Amino acid sequence: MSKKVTWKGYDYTIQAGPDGSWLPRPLIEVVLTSPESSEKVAVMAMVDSGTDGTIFHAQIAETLRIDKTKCKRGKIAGIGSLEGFRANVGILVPDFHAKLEIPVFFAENLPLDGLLGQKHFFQRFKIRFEKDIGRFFLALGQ
Amino acid sequence: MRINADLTKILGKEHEEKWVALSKDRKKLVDSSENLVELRDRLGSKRNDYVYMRVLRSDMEYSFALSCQKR
Repeated sequence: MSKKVTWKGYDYTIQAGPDGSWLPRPLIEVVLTSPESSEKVAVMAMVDSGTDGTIFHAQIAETLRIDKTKCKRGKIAGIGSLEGFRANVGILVPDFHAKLEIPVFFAENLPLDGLLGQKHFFQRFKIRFEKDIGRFFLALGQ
Repeated sequence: MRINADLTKILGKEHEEKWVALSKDRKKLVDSSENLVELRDRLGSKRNDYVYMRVLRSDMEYSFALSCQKR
């Protein structure tokens, strides 16, 4: 018998868009931690099925006192590309008391806080986007 | 806790491409800065009471289909 899935619903977060439009985006609060310090930082990250891995802004790594000179450099690509570095961090999803310990790419000049992509986030969580009603839903995976 | 999902009520053009500190219910803008470290330093011992966000420009739409390349 399959286990009952408990979904938590979220409103899409509305931000200003071009020509006075509204752009609803699937943002959730996550808390990043690093084994290199006692610092933690709560940020708004976007659940993004089009992103392969997990990507955050490089200033978040600086806040966590991650020494980027000791991290492996890399590049991310899509429409345009960004330079950055990779480091292992903890990502707590407070609504689920769930923590991912994963390698994150910290991108210099990323225009937003972070992107939760396929490789880690989508493997851990079940996700339903219901844009027609302005809601999306998360549940812990198996 | 009821979360404010409409950030257009509290964020304006002046916050674009900056970091903002929001109350946990996202109803109140606490402070903003171009640099996240500076912003958190300014908030001192209360820095962990807030959630931070980098505000996107409003004059464009974004596509975030990104993949990482290992070197």
